Amino acid sequence: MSPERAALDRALARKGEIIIVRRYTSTLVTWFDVECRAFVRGYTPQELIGGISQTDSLVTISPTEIFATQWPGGQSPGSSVDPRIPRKNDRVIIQGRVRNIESVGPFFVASELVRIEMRVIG
Amino acid sequence: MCNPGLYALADKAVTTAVNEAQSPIVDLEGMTAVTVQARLAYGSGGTSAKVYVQTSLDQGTTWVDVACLAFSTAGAAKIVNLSGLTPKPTPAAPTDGALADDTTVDGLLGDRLRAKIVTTGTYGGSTVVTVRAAVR
Repeated sequence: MSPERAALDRALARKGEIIIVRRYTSTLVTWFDVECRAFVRGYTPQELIGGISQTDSLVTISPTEIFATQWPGGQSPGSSVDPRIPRKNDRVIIQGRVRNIESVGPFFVASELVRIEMRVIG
Repeated sequence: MCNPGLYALADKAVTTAVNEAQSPIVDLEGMTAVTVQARLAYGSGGTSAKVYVQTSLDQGTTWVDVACLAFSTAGAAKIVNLSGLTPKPTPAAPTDGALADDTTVDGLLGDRLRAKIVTTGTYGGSTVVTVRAAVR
């Protein structure tokens, strides 16, 4: 494990809250969850640009739980996008409230996924 | 075992006929049992849908059917449990996508699992095949 991801895992273990990241099938009939520790915060006034609303939240997670559970599981061959990275219209459940992922920013260090930041709305 | 837990072997929206193996769940060394649930959420159309649960004993070079769960044109869920500790004194002939409908091959569990989905006919109306595996 990279030191960057290990450091994030330690910080999340100390101060993070538990959320659920949910991937639906395309038809919204079924889903598969992964439970993650996360930092959830609102945006500062300086960050409220480009369509970001003050009701949006910035969610930071480590990929550790995703790797451990091999979320979201078996995929069809030929998927062009790394399925392990949450994507737009996946859901997160924060404090019991279901919210929508609007955008995702994965961070790679030396080609290893070490951190995922998501803007969630709703 | 390494990494017991609940895994998604497949979540596939089905339309035209497919014969498609999903990407595997790996790092299951020491797996002694697995309970598999396959579910067809039926929409419309179609003819048949089969879920082959497969394992591999050679790091994914070849895949062996350990269960076949068959569906037709009605929503249903089917559950089977397999043990890796069942003695198998008689050699089993490995099959890949050829196990008889609604049968299992007990006693054969490698270090990985995957689902192969084979459908005929054209399903519609948000038909989805879901496969979950509780591994321990």
